[in-house]
Amino acid sequence: MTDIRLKSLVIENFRSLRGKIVVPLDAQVVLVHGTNGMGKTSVLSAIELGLTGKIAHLAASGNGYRAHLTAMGTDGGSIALTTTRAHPDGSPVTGTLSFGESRFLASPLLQPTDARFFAERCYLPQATLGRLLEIYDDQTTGSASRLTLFVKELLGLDPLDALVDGLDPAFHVTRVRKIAPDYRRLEALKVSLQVQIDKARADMREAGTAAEARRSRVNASLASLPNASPPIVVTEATNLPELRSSLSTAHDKDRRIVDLDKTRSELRSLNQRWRELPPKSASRDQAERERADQVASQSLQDWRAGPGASLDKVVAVVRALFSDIPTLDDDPEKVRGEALRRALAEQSRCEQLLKVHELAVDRMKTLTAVVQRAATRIEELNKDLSGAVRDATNLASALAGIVPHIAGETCPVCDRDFASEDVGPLAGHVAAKIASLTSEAGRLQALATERANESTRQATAQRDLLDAGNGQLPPEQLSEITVRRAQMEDSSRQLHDFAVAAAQGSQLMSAAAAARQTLILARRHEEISASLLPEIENTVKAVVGRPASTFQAIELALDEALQQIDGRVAEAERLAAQYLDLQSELEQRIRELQYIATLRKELARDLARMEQVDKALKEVEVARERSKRVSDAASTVRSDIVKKVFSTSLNRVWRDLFLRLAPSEQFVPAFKLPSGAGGNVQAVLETLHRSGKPSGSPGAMLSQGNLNTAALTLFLALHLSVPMRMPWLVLDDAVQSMDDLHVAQFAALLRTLSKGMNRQVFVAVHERALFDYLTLELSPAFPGDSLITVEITRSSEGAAVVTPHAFSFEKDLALAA
Amino acid sequence: MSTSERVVDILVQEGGYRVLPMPFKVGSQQFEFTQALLAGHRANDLVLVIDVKGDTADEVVTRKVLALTRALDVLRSKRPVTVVLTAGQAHPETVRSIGKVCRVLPVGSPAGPDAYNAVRDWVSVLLPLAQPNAVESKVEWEADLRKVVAASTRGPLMESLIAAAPGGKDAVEAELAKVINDSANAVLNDEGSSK
Repeated sequence: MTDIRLKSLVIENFRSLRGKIVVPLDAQVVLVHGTNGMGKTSVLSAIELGLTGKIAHLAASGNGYRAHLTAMGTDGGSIALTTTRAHPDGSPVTGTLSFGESRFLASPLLQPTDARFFAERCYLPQATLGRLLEIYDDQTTGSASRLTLFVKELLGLDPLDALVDGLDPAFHVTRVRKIAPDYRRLEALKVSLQVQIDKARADMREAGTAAEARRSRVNASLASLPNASPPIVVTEATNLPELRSSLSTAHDKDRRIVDLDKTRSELRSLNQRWRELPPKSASRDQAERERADQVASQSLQDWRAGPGASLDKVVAVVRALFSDIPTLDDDPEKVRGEALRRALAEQSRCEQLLKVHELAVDRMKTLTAVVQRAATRIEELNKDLSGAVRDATNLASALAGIVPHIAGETCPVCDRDFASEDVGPLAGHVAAKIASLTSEAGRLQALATERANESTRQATAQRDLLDAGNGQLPPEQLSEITVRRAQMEDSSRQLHDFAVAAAQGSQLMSAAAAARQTLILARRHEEISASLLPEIENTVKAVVGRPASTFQAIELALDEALQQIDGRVAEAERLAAQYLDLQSELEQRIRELQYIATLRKELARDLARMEQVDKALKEVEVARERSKRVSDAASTVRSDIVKKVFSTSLNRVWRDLFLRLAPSEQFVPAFKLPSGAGGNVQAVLETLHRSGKPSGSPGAMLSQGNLNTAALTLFLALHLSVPMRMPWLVLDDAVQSMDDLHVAQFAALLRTLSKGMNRQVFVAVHERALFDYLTLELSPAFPGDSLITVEITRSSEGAAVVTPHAFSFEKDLALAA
Repeated sequence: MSTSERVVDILVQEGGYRVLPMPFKVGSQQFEFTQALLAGHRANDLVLVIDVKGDTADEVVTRKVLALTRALDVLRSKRPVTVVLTAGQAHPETVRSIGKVCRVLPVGSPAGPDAYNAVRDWVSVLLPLAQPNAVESKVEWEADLRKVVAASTRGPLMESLIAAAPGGKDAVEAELAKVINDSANAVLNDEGSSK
């Protein structure tokens, strides 16, 4: 791309350029002239837009500038920038841009990276010139400052940066943990292992102490065992399971406790049975008891023959009626009481029946009289009524004939119930009817009423008569009950009299029974004693060592035997407990020893692991240390390279360029690099006196014109310090505030750049004299040199007018070469 | 060596200038200066070196320069003219007057150990620009790094880091993390297998 020239530029309605203009560019140097506001800068901006598709120094603060590209009073425009030939990578020959109020269609010539290169290294807008020193002296942006980026880009220090930045975590253990999670896990493992190891050690100490204490306890217990001579002593070497099983066997073989237990329960059972024997009465012997039995039986016999027999007779009378009354053999007094109760109850029942019977007889007599009298009276009334009827009319007589047939409220003619009519009795109604029909109605009514009353009375008496007959006894029953009442009265009186005799009989009977019982019990005692004694004798002898008979009493012998057997059982039990205890202690000790062995194994394992972990950590430490050294070395190398570049290249070029423009200036601007092998490039601007002595910053030491020169030459130095990617160099009115001497030097420099360095230079100037001077100075001096000047003016309509002029080589004849 | 001789020397040696024999003619007119040189190297500068001496009349110098430039103009020459004033200090008015028609370098006569450089600085604008050679973009960073690193640091780790460096910061960090993780994993994974 380094030999491709820009060929032509077509601009339409762009910023201050109204209308369409064509700017020829195909020359080594293109000078653009126009007074202020004519559009010089617009032409250069159009070049930038055609190449990159944006205006870099405006795009830094957003894309807002795109809306203001159109010339006032027009509704859109375009830019087309053409090169002399196509780029080998296939880029187009023409870069275009179409814009409007809401339109921005860019198809630039350059790829983004080249576009950036152009904007930073090849194009110096006026706006940037004033700020260039500030931009490159910016201390705040740190390692990513423009200068650093420049140097990195220039030198390709990325691998060194990658080493420095990538190894940065090695300097901080926290960052190592972050990038290498396994390292964190390893550290955690170390901590947990340490905890485990500490715990295992503590546990081992504790378990060892416990096991030792148990061993001494076991030894003490073993020494106290009977039949243990010489006593067994447990040492560290003792086969504990064997000892435990031998103890277990010894204990199992010991059947004593079972036998003792059996003997003890036998003794207890004997004792209980012995104590349960009925007490022997010491005062009376068997004969006495036999005699008492006999006497009691005799007394009972006598009583039965005497008062008993009489009582039995009386009771028999009652029993004839109530067969469930017991015989006297059970309990005379109880039998008498029962019989008396039954007799009295029967007597009272009979008396009740007789009383009811008498009442019924009386009532029947009365009622029979009422019926008989009513019948007589009705007969009389019937006669009276029939007499009256003969003197009445036919109807009255007929009605009167009905009256006798009226019984109650039922009509004898129609059989309906007159009561439902609710107008008084039927008889009254009929009588009233008759009375109204006859002159003797009143008398007839009285007669009829009386007859009805009489008839009612008769009916009531006849009904009561039927009821009264119920309480009346039939004659045979009346006689029987009468007899029984007397009989019961007699029996109950007799039974009452027999009270003392019956009580005596009962007493006798129970006395006889008691005597008999005593006799029987005595006989049983004798039998049991005879069977128990030999057994007690044997058992006690087996326990105590002497027969029971040698004791004062059997009870004492039993007590002694029980006491002794209890003692022996307790002893045996204690021994058994001791055996069990010993076994369990041995068991515990076995487990403790196993536990200690396990702990020891675990501890050994953990320690081995700890060693591995420590080794790995050490490895990481070594790796970190080496990484740090590599990082430091990379940092040193980087800063060495940067220093070398600055002192041997950039500063030299800058100085050269600056002195070309300002040969009399005593202070030359330069980048100063802080000494030391620090990592990042932190260049600051300073000036150096011609003598080489460092001085103040450019702002403090240089005039405004020379500051401008410093900025311009810095830009050119940066431009020249990088490999040329494209041959274009665009400078927008860079000579403002330069004095004449500088301008002349600048012209020479431009010529050197275009002819000596093969750059296609585009320069805009606003001063006519300078334009003319540059035209002269940059005129073609050899065949092949070319210069195009472009003057921009404005027509009376306000449209931009471009007047190009191309200069070609003309042989100079003024001086003989 | 006088300043004027030094100027000529520098221009001839470094700039490929050619010394014109004195006097020389422009058209039919004859001119004489202390020295006159014509540029080579694709430039057509005419450099006039004028010693300002005790007996030099400033107005004569001015008139001679103006006459020369007028003669060039008449012949439609496009040669840029540079006047180098050496020896004594020229009057500022003279410099201004000449400066209107050509480039003026009032070098004077620098003295002291830096005299040569001062003269060279003045005339450097007439010399071709040397393309700076700092643009060896392929810096031998790897070789430099190896030189700086101590022997104890060298080893597979450093090699792998250097190999990763062109891949960027993340690649280097990943390599570092890998080395550390590998060391850790040698133990951690062992735990996994033993359990």
